[in-house]
Amino acid sequence: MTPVMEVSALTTIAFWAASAMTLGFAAIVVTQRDVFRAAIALAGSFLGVGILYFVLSAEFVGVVQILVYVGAISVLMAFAVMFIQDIASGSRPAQGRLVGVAAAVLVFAALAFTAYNTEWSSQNELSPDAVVALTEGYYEVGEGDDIRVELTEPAGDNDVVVANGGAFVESTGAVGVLLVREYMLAFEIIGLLLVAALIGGLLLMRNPPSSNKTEKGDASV
Amino acid sequence: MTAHDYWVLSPAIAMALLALVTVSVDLVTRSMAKVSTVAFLGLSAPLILTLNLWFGWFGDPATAREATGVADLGSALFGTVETDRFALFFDFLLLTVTAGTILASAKYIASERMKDYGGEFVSLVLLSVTGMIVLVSATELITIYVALELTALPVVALAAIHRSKQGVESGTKFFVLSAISSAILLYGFAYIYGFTGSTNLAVIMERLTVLPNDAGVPFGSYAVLLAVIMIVAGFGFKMAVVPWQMWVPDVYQGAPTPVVAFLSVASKAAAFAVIMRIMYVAFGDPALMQDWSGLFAILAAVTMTLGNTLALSQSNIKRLLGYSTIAQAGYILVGVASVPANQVGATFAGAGPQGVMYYLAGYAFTNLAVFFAVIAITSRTNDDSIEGLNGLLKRSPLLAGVLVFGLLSLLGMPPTVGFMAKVVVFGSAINANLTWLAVVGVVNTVIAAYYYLRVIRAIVFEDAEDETKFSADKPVLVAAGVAAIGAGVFGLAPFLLLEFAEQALSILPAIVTGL
Repeated sequence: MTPVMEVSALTTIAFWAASAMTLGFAAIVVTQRDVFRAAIALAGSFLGVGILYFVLSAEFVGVVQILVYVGAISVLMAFAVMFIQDIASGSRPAQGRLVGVAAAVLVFAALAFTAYNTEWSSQNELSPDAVVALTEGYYEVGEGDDIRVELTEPAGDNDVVVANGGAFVESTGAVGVLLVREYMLAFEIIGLLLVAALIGGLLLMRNPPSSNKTEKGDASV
Repeated sequence: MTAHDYWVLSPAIAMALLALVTVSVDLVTRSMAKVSTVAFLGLSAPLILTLNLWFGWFGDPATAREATGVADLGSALFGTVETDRFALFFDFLLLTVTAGTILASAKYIASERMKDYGGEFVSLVLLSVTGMIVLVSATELITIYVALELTALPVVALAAIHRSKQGVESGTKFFVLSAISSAILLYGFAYIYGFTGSTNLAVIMERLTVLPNDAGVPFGSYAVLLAVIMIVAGFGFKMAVVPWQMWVPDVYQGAPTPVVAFLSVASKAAAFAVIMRIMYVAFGDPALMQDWSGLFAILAAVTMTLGNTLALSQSNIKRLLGYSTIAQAGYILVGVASVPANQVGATFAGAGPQGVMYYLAGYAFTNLAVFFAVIAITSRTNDDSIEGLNGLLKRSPLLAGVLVFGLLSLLGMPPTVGFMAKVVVFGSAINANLTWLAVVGVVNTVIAAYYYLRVIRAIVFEDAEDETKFSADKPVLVAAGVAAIGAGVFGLAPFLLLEFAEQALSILPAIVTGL
């Protein structure tokens, strides 16, 4: 098996640095008693994941990760933490720490074992030409049902030529096209999901009726 | 989107629109009676569209029927959904459950503390059903995942709708566990995608047969093994299967009973539908089938036994029913484990999946009858302990009759649908060389008899403290009655449903062509 891409030294360094950053901050999140500091550390961990996406040539996902998670979600969490009154006392030390550690180690072992003992298809399925096409772009030549892919722009001008950036070069465009083509239904359902979240949120955020306080259980339903 | 895509998605689109219309009706009229009426009558739109897809009356399906004899439109939207007969079977089931739920909650949403939020309540139920309708016809992992979220999120709000301590606890528990199970599920999907390079179920199947196999490893590769375990775990939460059952009793006790009735039937049916589709379409290779059959057999045995054992000591009727639904999920899993690949002799190859569909439909009617009767009773007595049911036979004979009939069906007494369903499912297990599992199932039925009969004893033989008679509100009574009649009819004439299920099955390719 030959690797798909020659991995440059710089990529390797970036990968390990981003991984260390992600895991280090995640460890702080878990161990830190102060909820606010934990929230800040979580933002750091999110940033590390964002960098990992860049290392994997998925710029669009990386940018979204940073905008949404590092930017919006972290700020939201900071606000939520500030609204909690007992912030100074910090969170209670987690119970069953040993069980938690054991479970984490087990899950890691299972995932790592699987990752190492599997012959991943991407390692042997892509031809070198396909890799070049995906990373450096390609040209669609021909018309109708007769379309072939060329790596260099053909000299003749009889065929219709469409220049394509390649998935890794122009991941933003590729994601956009996928969203309104293959994954259009999922995209639409997310719209409904937001409606449901909105209605549900309004329902739960209403002022509680005063009769609620005296009621014993929900047996009356 | 082409016209074809719209036809394939028409039931889901109609359902989504109905959800939006319902919430608008509430906004304009503020009348809960109107909200219930609009929602109930509005269900006829998705129903007609589903019938149209099945029979091919008009539009695109009619042309499809002309061409092939079957009104099967095939896949749409780049192979992300396929409204085949398997999906339509579950569409019918879901629509029936929804109609019952809306009928049974008509009085509830008009009550003093709910009347300002009734439109939202119904709308959330309908949005969840929209998710389920897409879920049962989705043939692609990302669509499956997003649809699954749409089914779960409205239920979170519905479970916590009362904002009492119990309500918030049940909502939070459901939300957190649902998020964790989604994460596990996504991890499984990611491994499958990483291994096969596709999220389309049919393509996954193709690639799995071509890709190199590790001899001796179940599923031919560790990645697929782990992925299948994670996918089953993720859906195990929705199916309320041990060991992902701990949310069930708390949510059942804390959430409003109409929500629980909906949850216990609709989400379970949708989850079983999608897990069967994933298993048969993506992992439907006979060799793989035998591997996951073993996994489901173990899950089935553990789920039945634990659900029944824990139900023995319950004193709250809703908690007891919670554990009972866990046990029922175990029985249904027996049918999932009975795969065609293990078939002994020349019996019908699709008996296992067919049994699952028959059991799910029968269970839906039975469980709805039980829950609607409980709604009708507790809304009058304000007591959901089992003692609260004492002497019910004298106080409200009709409701007592429905409840006793439903419990006998859950228990599996002939001639109810519960009995026939158990016969079909356990029979399919024996045919699929899983005799031990059938024996475990029968033993469990005996254990379950104890706690179901305990409730029946309270209803029939105990004396009530308060002897005042009461009758139920009309809509709930109608819903409970119809559900009970359904359970009776399909028990006496099982071939009605079995034939329907068999037609729906012929679409699952692995069963017909793989063997």
